[in-house]
Amino acid sequence: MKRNDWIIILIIAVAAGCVYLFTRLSSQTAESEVMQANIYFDGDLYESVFLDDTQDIVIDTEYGHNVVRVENGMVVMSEADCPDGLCLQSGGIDSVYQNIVCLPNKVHVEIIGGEEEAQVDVISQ
Amino acid sequence: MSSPNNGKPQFSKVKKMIFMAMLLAMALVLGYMERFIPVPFAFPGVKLGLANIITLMALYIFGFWDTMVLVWMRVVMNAVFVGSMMSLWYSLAGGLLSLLVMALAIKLLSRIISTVGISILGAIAHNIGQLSVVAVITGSVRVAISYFPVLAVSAVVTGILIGVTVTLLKSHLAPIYKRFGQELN
Repeated sequence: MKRNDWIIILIIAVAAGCVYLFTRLSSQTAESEVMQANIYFDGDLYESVFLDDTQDIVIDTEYGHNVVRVENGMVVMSEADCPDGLCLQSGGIDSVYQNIVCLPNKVHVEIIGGEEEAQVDVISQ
Repeated sequence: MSSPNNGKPQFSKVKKMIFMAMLLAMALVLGYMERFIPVPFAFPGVKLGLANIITLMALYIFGFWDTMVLVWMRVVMNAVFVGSMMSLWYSLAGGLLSLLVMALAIKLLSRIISTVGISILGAIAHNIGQLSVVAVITGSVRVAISYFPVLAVSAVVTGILIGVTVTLLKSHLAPIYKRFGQELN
């Protein structure tokens, strides 16, 4: 390895660090009492639920079957018939801007702070 | 012996076809086998990318256009055998962007960075290509970007592994080429 290889690694590490800090900070500033889980299918809002409710949301589309479970302020993908099952492995999410993506079924879940719901919808459309 | 040399080894048409078919078979098998190698942590999109060994090696042996054919065939056949329609799109975006970046890096930067550096650039380009597809499918750039930090770190690690492997492979192949009076640059 040459010295310039290390410079490339350094640049990538700094970029990754910056992106990480940025997402962390924007998550903290958006933190609020009321949080919602927005469930999207193919980029469009499918359903929106409050995190303090306990319920299972079933998403049956032509791409597949997913079940999102909301329980104790935590959101998990509890069932999915996608071939890779990566969304099942990604665990639970409980803070603003965290997300679970099920790419094969075109489903994703993102947590947002209650009051800026309108703004988020404009961005994601 | 038709196309201009560019310092790449020359093959007869049949030899080249057989060689490329073998590389394609190896790339497909490596891409399939790597899912049986346990990775310390499961994260969407994190994988070893062993097929990139073949892509990078083919770039050194054949150059950009033939490797482009190889990448297309690998991605399409991989989707037919084990993947899905969706995996075709993100493999294609990742594979082609990675190929483009590595080819440019070999052309422009090979004096100042080593094969390991080129491999790291290819790995990060692969992840950026895949994340753009994630951004398109989810319709949210923020979701795609939230995956970048972990994928970038994994790209550096796997890029180094693949880069070292290709460096060793090249040093073993070079004497064989030399025996046939050819140069592997």
